[in-house]
Amino acid sequence: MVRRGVAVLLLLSVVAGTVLAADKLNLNTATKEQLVALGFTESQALQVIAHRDKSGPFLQVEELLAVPQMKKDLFEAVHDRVTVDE
Amino acid sequence: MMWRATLTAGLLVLATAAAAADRVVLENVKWEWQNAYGVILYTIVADVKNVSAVPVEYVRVKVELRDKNGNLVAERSGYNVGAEVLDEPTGSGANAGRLRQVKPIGPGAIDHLRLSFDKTDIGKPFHSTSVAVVEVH
Repeated sequence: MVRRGVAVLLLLSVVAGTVLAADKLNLNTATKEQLVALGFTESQALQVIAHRDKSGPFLQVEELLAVPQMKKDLFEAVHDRVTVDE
Repeated sequence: MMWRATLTAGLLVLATAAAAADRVVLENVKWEWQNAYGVILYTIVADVKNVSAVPVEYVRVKVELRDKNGNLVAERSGYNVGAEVLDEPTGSGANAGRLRQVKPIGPGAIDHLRLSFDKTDIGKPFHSTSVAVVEVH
């Protein structure tokens, strides 16, 4: 029983570590669902994807502000949770 | 969409006065991404203040974009708005004919600076933007 508990704790810590390591969403690979989960509306998420499809990968997180329908308050809310780094 | 940029992690703007002359200073340096009918631009704007006692004909400024390792990603130079005629591609910058079209910055007066990069000319992610005065005339 104790061993099983330890194993579960170890598994949880590994999962948590993985989540923490990848806690920023990459704007250049994010799916519509991931963007929506972060707080974008479905329409905004589609605009983000259309923007990178049309003008290439995001070069800075701040480039989000050039995406149609992007609101400053949403940008402020998500900019620390997204990245453009590989 | 215009966004008044604030200092964010990984992005640093250094506004540097012309050490050689100390005749002008850059103030209110801001940068923003703009969508100009589908053309994506990274634009740097600033005020150029003449802090000397004599008029300044033009100020040339250099902007450098660097990646997180400090490597140069893109650079360009340009003039204050009143001297943008010097930026035209034909001929060498400040010839006499063009200088006649320049609007000097009087002592204590302020002109503006506006330099844009087309996103396609940048090409790679960058983390810092530096703005420096390289020539005052």
